[in-house]
Amino acid sequence: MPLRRPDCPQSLPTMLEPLAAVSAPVAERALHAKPAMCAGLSEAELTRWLAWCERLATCGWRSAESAEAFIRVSPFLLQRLSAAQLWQWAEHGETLARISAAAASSFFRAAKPFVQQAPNAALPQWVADGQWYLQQHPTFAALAETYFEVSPAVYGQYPFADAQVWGQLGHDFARLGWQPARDFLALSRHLAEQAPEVALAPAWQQARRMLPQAGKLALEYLAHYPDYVQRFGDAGAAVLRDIVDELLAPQITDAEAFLHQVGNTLILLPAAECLQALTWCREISTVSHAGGLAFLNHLSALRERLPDNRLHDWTNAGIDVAKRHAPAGAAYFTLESATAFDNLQALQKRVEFAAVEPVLRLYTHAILGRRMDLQTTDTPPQDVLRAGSDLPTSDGTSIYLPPRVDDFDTVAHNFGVYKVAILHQAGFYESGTFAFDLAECRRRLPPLPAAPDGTGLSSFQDFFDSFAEPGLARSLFAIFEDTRVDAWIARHYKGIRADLSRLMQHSLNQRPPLNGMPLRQALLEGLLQLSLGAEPASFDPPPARLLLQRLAPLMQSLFTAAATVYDTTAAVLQAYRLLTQIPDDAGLTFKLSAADLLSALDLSLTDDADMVALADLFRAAGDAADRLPVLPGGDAPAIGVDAVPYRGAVKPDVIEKKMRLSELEDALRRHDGLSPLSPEALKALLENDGLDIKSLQRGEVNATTGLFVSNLQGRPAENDTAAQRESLRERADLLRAELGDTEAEPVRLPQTFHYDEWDYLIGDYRRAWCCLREMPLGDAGPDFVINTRRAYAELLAQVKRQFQLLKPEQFKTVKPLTDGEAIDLDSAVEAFVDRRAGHTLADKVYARRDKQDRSVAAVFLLDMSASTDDKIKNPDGRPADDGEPPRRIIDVEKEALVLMAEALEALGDAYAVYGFSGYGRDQVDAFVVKSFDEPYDRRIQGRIAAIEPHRSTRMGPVIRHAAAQLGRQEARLKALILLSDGYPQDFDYGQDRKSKEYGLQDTTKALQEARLKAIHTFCITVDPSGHDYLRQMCPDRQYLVIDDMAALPQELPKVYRGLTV
Amino acid sequence: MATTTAAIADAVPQLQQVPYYVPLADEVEVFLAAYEARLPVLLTGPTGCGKTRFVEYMAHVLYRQDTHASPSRFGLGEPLVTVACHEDLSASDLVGRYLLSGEETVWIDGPLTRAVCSGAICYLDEIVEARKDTMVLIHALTDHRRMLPVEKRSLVLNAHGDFLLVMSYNPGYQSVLKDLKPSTRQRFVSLAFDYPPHDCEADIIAHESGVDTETAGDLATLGAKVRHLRQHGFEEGVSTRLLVYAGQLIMRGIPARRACEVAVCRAVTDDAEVHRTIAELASTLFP
Repeated sequence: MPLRRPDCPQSLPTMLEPLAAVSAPVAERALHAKPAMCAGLSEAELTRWLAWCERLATCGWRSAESAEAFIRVSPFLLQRLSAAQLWQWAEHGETLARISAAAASSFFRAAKPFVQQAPNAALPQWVADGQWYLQQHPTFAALAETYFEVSPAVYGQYPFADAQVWGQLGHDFARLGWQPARDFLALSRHLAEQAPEVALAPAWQQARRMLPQAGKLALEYLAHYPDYVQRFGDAGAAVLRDIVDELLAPQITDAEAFLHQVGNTLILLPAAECLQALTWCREISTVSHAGGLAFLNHLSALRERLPDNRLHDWTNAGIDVAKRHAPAGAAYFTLESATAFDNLQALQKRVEFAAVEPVLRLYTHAILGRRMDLQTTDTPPQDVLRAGSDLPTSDGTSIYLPPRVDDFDTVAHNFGVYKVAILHQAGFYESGTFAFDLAECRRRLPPLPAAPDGTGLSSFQDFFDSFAEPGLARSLFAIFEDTRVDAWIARHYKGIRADLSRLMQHSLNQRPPLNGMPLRQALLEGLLQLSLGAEPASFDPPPARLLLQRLAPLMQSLFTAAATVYDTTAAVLQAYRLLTQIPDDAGLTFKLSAADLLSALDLSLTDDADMVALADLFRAAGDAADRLPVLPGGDAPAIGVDAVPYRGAVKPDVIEKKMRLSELEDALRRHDGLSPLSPEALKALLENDGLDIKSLQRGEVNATTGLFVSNLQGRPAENDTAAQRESLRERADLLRAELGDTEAEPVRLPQTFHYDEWDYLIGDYRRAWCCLREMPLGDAGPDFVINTRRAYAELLAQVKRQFQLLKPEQFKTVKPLTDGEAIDLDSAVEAFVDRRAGHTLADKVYARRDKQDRSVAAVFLLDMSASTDDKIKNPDGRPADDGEPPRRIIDVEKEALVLMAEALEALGDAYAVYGFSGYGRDQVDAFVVKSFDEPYDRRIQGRIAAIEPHRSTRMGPVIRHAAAQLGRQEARLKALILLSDGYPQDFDYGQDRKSKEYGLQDTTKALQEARLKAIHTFCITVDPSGHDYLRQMCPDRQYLVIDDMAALPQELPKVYRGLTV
Repeated sequence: MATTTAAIADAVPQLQQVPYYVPLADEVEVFLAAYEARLPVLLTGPTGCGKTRFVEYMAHVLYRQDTHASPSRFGLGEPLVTVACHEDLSASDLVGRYLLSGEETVWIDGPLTRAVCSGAICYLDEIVEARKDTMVLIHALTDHRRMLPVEKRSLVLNAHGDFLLVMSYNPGYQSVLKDLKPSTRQRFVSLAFDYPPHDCEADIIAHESGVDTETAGDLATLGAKVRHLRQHGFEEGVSTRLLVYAGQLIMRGIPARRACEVAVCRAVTDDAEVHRTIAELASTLFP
């Protein structure tokens, strides 16, 4: 073996022998390192070094590897460190190698980077941290190995103190298990390489706090942390850390949700706004964790509604709320409290249809003089409007409006958009668009080409079909009629002019430029822009401008006070003739000479000769225009313009058909209905040649039909009522088929109402929290009522008699008065005594009887919760056992109701009855047993019989609903009587399902609200424990707990009498 | 026993000027014929549509115009006795009563007694508001007997030949309980009034308030539109009288929207939504 080297102690080969005996490769390696080692060490030290090598190589399984690693790094260490320090390293290595040779090897491999980067003083801690893994669990050797690989970079990059935190964090992860620790170490390596400039120490400390509960969260947090810093800047990251700190206690889930929100929403905002949002969030979170989270959650929606400065105001107001009362703050920022809504409403300038719907409805009604339903374009009728469009339109029975308007900076201006849109739609009816009659049109416009085969169903349709290109005629008609209607509105409603011109200007600004359109379309678009007030001279390019200057005079007649729909059709005809001279594929660029030719011609549209010349001009223009490339096999470019938002897309023929259909249906209904028409009347109806659409416009929907006389009169069975009815029906079916409306009766959805709910925890209303549906009740026949009448015949007679005693007008004597119909004796005597005694004479000696009319409206609310299915017991607790099936609570409630209704009929008071039940705040059901305007008849009796137990008892919304119904009654005295069998409860009546307090508080509040509206409330319960909560819910003597359920039928009328006298 | 009737008769004679009234149909002819036959007249119609003005106009025609007035009527100082009825108006309020005055009791004639004695037209406005006991008087006066029992004085007064009873009655907002009984109703010739048609109403507004025709037309349009809302929260539409008020405010420099606000919106409803709607209508019509 060539072991001898001249510059080394002679004894070296000998010295290496023991090592070679242990491991030949190690000895080999030592020999290689010998020259470097010899240079730095004395012979004794060299011996000691070799001894260490031997010790390392022998201290465990595969420890030769670690010895090799030690030998490999020894020369490097010797350059930097003293021999004593080298022994230290060897000692640490030995400790490690005893457990894991691999870890020890890794340790020695890390020595070079560590010594290069880290202070030597950090060594013990560094090693100890690595050693910790080995001591913790044998399987953690690999972790230790990775630790030594990763850690030098950490120790190198961060201050020692931070690196210590990192080391501790690694241990924390390791306590969770092998995998988290490995992931952490891998992540650390990744971050050290990828984002060395980010100071991670604060994140490490936070991650330590997240452990041991949320290892995954901590890892994710660490992984994203550099992104946060990069995104939000150091300041933003600091705020973010503050929030995480705040949210970490008491439960980690808040922090988790927060980080999730940050990743989802915040990261999408511009950096500057992120910092602002985080700052707000921090402020909110310090008072309410839930509030802070909700704020971030709703941030994008809020930003959509409010510009920055107003969002600032809204948020600060919320922070104030939260500072006063944290739960209220949470409700504020979750957008559930009334305050939040009110503030939002006050700050945002856009107008929501839902918020102004009642006013708009009234407004429409006032303008049109008849009921016209208002809907949002969220639910458009398919035949009138393509889905997804938010253009206003109308279909003869409804006007469809966009769900919100946010075009302008003030609420008034945005509201003005709704007004203009309604006036425009109403304008079609008011200005006589639907008075259009084709025959009249032909009379006025002889050149109108004949329709190929008119269906006679709609004058408009036949009119459009008269043209070779009905689509173009429709577009022209829409533009001209919109123009005429706008002019009509501006003339008749002076106050709307400002709104209208503002909106026209706004719409004009949004129109596309003519450049790039085919010539024909450019002219259509130009016409539309002219109708919005564009200057003819403003158009570009010049050829289009010149042609539009020629077209503009067509509109003049539409602006006059006398303009009718026939002026529109005349303009349509003229424009159509000019536009059709231009080929479909003509472009907007012109041959040079043509433009001169165009500008040379100056014509006004006064007679037919001019029209011919003008047509020639348009043809010449069309010919001179460049041709657009037409794709092989492709169609000519589609011609048409997008509608102007406020004017909407109105299809006059469809509306006309719908109006006619509804007239026909009305006629048929009357025909089949209660008041059948005599043959004469029907004939008169059919022969009435008047324009009944006009009558519709005047609001006389009942004066109908006769529109289709032309087709009916030729029929032989003219005088036969049945045949006539048949022809009416045929026409109706035809129209229905035309409209694609095979089902005549639309499915009626239950009417829904939204009511606030009082949350005592936040001390505020939760806005529009409950959705109440008015549900119909079936008809279970009259048997129940008949049986009840029989069973309670005696009581019923008694109650009726008592009630009749209430009925006569009651007089109350008022005295003493200065003036009256009778002398009040007491006062008179006193006055005379006074006079005799020489005192001043009192002149109040008269009495008068004041009349008191009975004017009462009452609502009965009937608990239909599942618990009313319980069988009733006798007061002594025994179940009833008289052979009959045991009665349920609900049966007795129903009986009491029948008795009450019968008695009230005798009294003549207005009353309504609702059953209530439901499940959850989104599904509160009010079953309409009898509404105020329904008479108590067989139908109602059937409904009473159909009352059955359902689900929960959420009283608040039902009481509010009843109060709202009562509010519409004109009675002097209003009463609300609630019949229940237990405390209010629902699965989400308050956050704590078990707590009854929320429900009680809300119900109490609802009853208070009713009393504020001057409604007398009264609660009756059959729950023996009712005293406990009714005492809280109702003022004294305004509730009754009935121990014996069977007594309810007697008690109810008594209560009613007491309440309403 | 002194009577104060004379004191009233000494007052300045009424109805020297022709009250402004635009006949809408044949109501003037019908009224003249009814007066000729001394048939009591019942005027029905919403408030502020011109019932009272019509009666004033007819009183002027019958008592102040040469074509119709007889000498006895011509000289009557108070040809029209108007009583606005209210819930506490009793028979004695109409007939008269003894009042204590110092040491003695004094009989004071009621308005009805005055008219019966002097031969004036007695106009009972909103008669159903009055107490039921007033009907007793009315029944005796309105059939062939034409007499007024003065119970407290044990007298029965026969009506003066020129006397005529006219009542007004607004079926719109009265509850069923306040309906006029058929026995009462069937003693009268009934003239139904309603708000005038748009153009006519515009003329009236222009005349009464002095606004220009255009503004008057817009006010009349506002009236028509608001009346479309009769079912929503208020029973009566806006009356011509209110529109005239609005016009008068406009004439005195109040901006049109504000004038409508105070004269129309506030006057017809307390309902916030209806209120806002009317304000929006006004702002739609007036710049």
